[in-house]
Amino acid sequence: MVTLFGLLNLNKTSLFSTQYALQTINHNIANMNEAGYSRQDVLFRSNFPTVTPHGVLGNGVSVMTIKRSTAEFYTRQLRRETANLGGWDMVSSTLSEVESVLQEPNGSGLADAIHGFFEAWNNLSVDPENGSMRVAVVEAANRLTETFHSVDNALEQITDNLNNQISADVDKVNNIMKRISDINGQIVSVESKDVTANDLRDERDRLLMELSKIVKIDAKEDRFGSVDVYINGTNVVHRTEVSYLEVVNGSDSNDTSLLIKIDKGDDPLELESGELAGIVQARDRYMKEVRASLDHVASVLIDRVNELHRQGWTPQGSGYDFFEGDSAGTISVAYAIKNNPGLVATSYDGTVGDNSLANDIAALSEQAISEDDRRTINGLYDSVVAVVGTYSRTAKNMAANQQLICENLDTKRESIVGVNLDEEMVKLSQYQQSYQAAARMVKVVESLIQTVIDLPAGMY
Amino acid sequence: MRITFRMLSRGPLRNIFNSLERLTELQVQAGSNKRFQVPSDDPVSVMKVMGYKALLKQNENFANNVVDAGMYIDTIDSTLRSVKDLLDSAKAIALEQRSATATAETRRVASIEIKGMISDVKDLLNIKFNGKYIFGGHRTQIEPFQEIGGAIRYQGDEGSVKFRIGPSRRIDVTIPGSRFLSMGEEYVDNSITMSPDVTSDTLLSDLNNGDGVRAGRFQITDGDGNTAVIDTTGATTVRDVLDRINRSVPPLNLIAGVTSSGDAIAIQSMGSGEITVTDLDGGSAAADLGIAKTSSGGLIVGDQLNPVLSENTKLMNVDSLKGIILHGINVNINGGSYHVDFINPSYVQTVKDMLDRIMEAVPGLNAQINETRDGIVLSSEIPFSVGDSGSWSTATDLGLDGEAISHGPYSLFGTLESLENALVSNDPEALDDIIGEIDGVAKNLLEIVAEVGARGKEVEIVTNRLEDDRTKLQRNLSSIEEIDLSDVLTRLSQAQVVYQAALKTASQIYQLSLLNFS
Repeated sequence: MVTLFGLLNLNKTSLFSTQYALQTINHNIANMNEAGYSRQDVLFRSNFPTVTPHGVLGNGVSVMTIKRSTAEFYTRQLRRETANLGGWDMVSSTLSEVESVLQEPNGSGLADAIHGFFEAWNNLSVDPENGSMRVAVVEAANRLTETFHSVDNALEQITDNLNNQISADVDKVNNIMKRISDINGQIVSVESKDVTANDLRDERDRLLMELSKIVKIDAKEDRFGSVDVYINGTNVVHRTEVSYLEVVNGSDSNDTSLLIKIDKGDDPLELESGELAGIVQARDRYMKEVRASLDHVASVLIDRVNELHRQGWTPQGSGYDFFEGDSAGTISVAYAIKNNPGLVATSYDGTVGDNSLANDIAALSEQAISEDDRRTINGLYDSVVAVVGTYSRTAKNMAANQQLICENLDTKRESIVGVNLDEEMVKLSQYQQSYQAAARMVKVVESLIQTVIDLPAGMY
Repeated sequence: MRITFRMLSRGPLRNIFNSLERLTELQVQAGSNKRFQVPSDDPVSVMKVMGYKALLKQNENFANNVVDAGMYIDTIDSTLRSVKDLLDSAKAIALEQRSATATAETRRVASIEIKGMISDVKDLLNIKFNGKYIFGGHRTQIEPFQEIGGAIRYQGDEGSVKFRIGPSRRIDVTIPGSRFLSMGEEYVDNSITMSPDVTSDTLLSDLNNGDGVRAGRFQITDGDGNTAVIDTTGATTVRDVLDRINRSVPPLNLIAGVTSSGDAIAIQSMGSGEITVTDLDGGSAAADLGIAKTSSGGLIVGDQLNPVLSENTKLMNVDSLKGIILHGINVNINGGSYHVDFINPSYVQTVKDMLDRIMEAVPGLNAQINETRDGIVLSSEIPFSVGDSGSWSTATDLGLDGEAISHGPYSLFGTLESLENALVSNDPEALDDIIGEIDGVAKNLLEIVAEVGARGKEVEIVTNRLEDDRTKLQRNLSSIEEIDLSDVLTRLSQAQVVYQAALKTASQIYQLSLLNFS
């Protein structure tokens, strides 16, 4: 049975549905610049029709759901690649810092200081009687040791910063996991009413992405809409429960490097990718290697120079080591020599004009450091620089590649879930038209009712 | 592909960033003139650059050292030359004062002169260069030669200061004064006078005990009254002179030759009458040849010509060796025993053959014609002895057998001081020995000068090589390290264009939207 008021009611469903659509378009436009926002669409459904003797009569429209567009495949991939990017970014920026500490090849770094040291010995070798040449040797040696120290300190500083970064990142991870668990609760509660919690899901996706940058995760959604997060196979977020990460000190008391564990677990995490993994790799592999090879340069220099200088005689004493210490951090000019440059020996027998020892020490700069290693002391240091350069270049390239991969994936994801203004504008005019049509319909029905009302009495 | 609003804004933005980054990179390159700023820009090249820089640094050190070395060596060279001059003057004085015209008084005066020379030599060798006494060995801070107890004593040591002029190359830049203390060497002088015959090959300059024959003109008149003028100018051997006589214009009726005993020139007339040889122009060519005479019975037998030994002298023409077969000698030197074989692989023909054979067979032994050129002398800086080989008496025949006699060591100052003493004590006999000593010292001094000269040459060569190396290294360094400016500038302007294009595209894309049309 069709009634005029029934028609009005039917119009109401049309107007309401269109308003839903307009509101959603509005929402899309409002959020179009927001990263991680997934465009929403209103899905309509014809109302259940009335069966009449004349046929099935339509009953208007109602909103079925507000759908959030998803690109789960790309999102997962993006999470994984973002983790890789986070790792390489960290390694790359650490190695860049190391490069700027070394100040090669254009600055005045260790290479210069080593040259300066041997040049001073060379100058002393042609003028061993000249006391000021001895002072110059000690000065050059001081400059060399100070350069070693400052490079070593700077590298240690970088390592310290990496450790600090670990704590900060772990805090961040815990914070994010907490929020994810909160949102899990909200989503489950919203979606129990058989609707999808679009914006909450967007927020959770954003958090998962943020988390992925720091540490590689696996995320699995259960049937209630809550996401479980796994790190290295361990479930760290289960619905609303969180197993927090914690930072512990290295295995022994001398080891200041920090390790990451899950909630008082026994074994430290061996992270695969992500910023934290990058930090650990930069600290435990690259920084250790660079510092060890600098220590090696220093110890070779110390040994080779001392070996000769110990054989030296001066009128003031003999048998002195020239350097003390055994590493880049501890190398220093022997205390006695620092205070009395007269102890700088140029001779094997103490004769004042004998420069043979000075010649031999100056010649160290041109000689292979051993039978097995045909590099010079400078060559040894040059290869440290080259190794750092190679690592840094690789890390830079990897980070750049990873950046590109992520951008590509993000573009693909964005092309599915992003907002296109033109599209929204078209939909806007579409729903504007349909709203206007529905409104017109109301007017028509209203005039029909008026017509009925205005019928003269007794017409029934 | 569906393009969203965020993609629209992000794409151009990334392009702008990329081209800006490229632009900055090129600007830094152009501004610094360096291809790379950090090792990661090009690790392999950076390593090469550092290697080249190290080599340049070494090169610089060596170049500085070699300049210093050159100055030291020049100083030594000129000092030693001055010492040698003084030594020559001392010898001249010694010779003068040995002669019969010298008197006790001239010797006394000369001794004062020598005393002055000793002091001069001392001052010369006490030269200080760049704060070092360069003749004091390693004791560079005390005067190496000091007068102590009336004699000059060496206060230095035997060390030698070396400068580095290459990775494994060092050059001596001083001469330790100790080398002036033991001069002279060991030698065996043969005691048999080796007087060779005159042959037609004998050099005119070897005649008359090595005084030679002065060139000049003489005339010969034969028995028939023909007179020819002979000019010896340009003649070098006895044959040249004989040829000019035998083929004279006009022809002479006579024959000139060497006597059968091989010690003079003879001229035999082919006709009758006397032959007369007379020097012309006040010269003495004929006299020097021993033929300025008038013949008796048509034959002129010249005076003895006494030729000295030369390297080309045939051993069979040496008087003392005639009829003797030279088998070989034995030499003991430096702990080794060496046999010198004169027969195998070929028999020694000339003096030179023999000397070469000896020097080839015995290391460290020097064989040469003695100073008076009437024998040979074997010498070495270390002791040695010479003996007969087997049952043959060759060493005895040559007069070489026996222990080498040490001549020296003489000290530079010791020799001069004994010269002074001999003059003071008016002892001309002693002067003979002293003159020998001075010769020994002078010979050694010249050897040292030659050694220093060789070092000077080395300095020159090394200087040039270092210069070449530096140029090459710098070229290599630039080719790796420096940018090609035109290339970078071209790419820079390209990058600018790209950057502008990116900006323009972005600004236009943002203007396009359906919003602007509805």
